[in-house]
Amino acid sequence: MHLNLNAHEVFEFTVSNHTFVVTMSVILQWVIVAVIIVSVPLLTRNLSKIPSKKQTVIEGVVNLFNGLVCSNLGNEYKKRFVPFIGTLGIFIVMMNITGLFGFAPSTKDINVTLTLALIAAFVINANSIANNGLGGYLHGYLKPFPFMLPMNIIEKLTIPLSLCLRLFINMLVGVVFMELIYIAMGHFAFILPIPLHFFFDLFVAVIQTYVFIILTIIFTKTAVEE
Amino acid sequence: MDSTGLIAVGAGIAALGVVGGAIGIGMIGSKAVEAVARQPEAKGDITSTMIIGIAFAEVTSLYALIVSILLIFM
Repeated sequence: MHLNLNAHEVFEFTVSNHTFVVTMSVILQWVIVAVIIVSVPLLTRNLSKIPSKKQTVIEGVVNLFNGLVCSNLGNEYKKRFVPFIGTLGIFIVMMNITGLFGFAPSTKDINVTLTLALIAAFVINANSIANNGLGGYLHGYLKPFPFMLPMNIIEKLTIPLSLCLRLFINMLVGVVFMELIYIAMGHFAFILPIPLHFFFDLFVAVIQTYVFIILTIIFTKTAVEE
Repeated sequence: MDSTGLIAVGAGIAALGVVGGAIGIGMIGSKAVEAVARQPEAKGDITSTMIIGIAFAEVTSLYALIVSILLIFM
């Protein structure tokens, strides 16, 4: 097969006896972080009470995340959770859309999605400990019946696993499909790739981001109520 | 002995597992459409719930697909 699913390594650097390999996914993430850091002060420069057109769009985006968090978790979570969920959502959706610009999306690398899922799982468990205390959190493992302890442990482990694999496989299937189409059509790739790019790089990207965020919110809610 | 043939057969049989997810997603979709037909003003809530249900039903068929991909590429 001509397809290469391994990460494309760009350069290495050694810091005090450890070698760090920088892959293309990491470089794309750096570019996205630079874009976000440069564009946020530019977009929020002159905020006024009577909103201009640009400010209306930005307020719409913020209200979207506010609505998602508050309608599922309640209003007291607004200050702590909306920045986290908003940043996670914008970061993931910008990573998934880079297929439109010619680069393979950074989330086709399982290391990237595993890190995102571990961050989300850490926040879910830490929020549960912060609300119920360490004793309450450990007591929650025995909650319905004490013999359901193995099932509760497995549930805590499969939450980050399923978040990781869902995002990773959806993006990987899109990349493999588009590469196969381009290999098969060769120099004649004119009209057929356009609706496929629209489906994979816009529709699947946005829906998978929405699913990741709303599942993080729902798992937080069920972990607190135990 | 070269095992490329057996790998191909294994990958093909593993990919048959995605049919469970397709049936599950179809049932979720049909129940959601029925629910909207009974009460059209709850459409936003029903749509969000349907998307979450589809995400859970789809991930098990993606587990079958990852087995198939691992067989071919490793």
